[in-house]
Amino acid sequence: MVTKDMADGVVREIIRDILGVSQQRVDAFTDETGLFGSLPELDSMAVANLLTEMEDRLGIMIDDDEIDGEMLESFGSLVAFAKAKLPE
Amino acid sequence: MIETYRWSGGEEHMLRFGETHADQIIVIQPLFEEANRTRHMLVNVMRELDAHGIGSVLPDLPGMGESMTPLAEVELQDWRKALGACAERLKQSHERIITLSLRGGALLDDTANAHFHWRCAPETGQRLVRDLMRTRLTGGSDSETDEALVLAGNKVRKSLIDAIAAASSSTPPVLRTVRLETDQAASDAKIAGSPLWRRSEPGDDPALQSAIINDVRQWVLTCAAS
Repeated sequence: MVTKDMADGVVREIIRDILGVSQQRVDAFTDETGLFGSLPELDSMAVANLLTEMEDRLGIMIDDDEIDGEMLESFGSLVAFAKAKLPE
Repeated sequence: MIETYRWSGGEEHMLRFGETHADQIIVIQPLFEEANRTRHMLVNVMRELDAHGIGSVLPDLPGMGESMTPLAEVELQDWRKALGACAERLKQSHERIITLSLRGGALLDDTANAHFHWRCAPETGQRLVRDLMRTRLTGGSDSETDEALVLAGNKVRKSLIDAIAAASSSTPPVLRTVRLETDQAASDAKIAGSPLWRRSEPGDDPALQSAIINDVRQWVLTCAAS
């Protein structure tokens, strides 16, 4: 089971695997690193794949209503969104 | 080598390796965009299996790949009929037919009437459609009608999507299911690699590719001994 403290690492792995971002680049991500609109690999098609993979790997459900620009704005906001759905 | 096969709705291409080998695998690709993302890897798998004495075919489903049939006219039944016809053709010359399906391809593997089935990361129709609909949420399109949807730039019949949503894979008697280590769902074995079918750009994953080759080779040996 994935817990809150694992969220950061798992989301990094998902970005690497789904968006094809190199390990080196993804390791350098900070909470402020921009995602949607900043990361060229993250187009609208990729958003769908990213979120579905997050559901599978984190064992969470993401409602379509929850998907907005704020959640995808930065690496930090995406991890915070995942953490809110994970157990301690 | 590229050959063609005929089905009731027309003629489609199929890629073929090792047709003289006793064991023949029908490779059933994932559906829609996922097929493009995984095709290169599946062809590498086929080539490698050929080197190990296992033949395989990769049929284009109507409306997909190089097919001349417009995707906008395709129904789920067409895919089933086409795969059935492709399998019949193989059976004329070979006895042991095995299906290798990835993701949504598993929804169709019963149509091949094969003796043995191998599945990687099979997905229910409902979940596949949920994925497809999610791409529309952020992509959006205004060229949709009552009968047709636009998914990742392709027009498809709503009736096709409804049929996929209602489809679930069969439970054939001789079946092996493998899933990625990161996938929580039930399986016979977990394999290394990343979900190439969700990758933004078509790419490769050597770990996944060799894990599939090794598992399929072992499965074919098991099938041959049964």
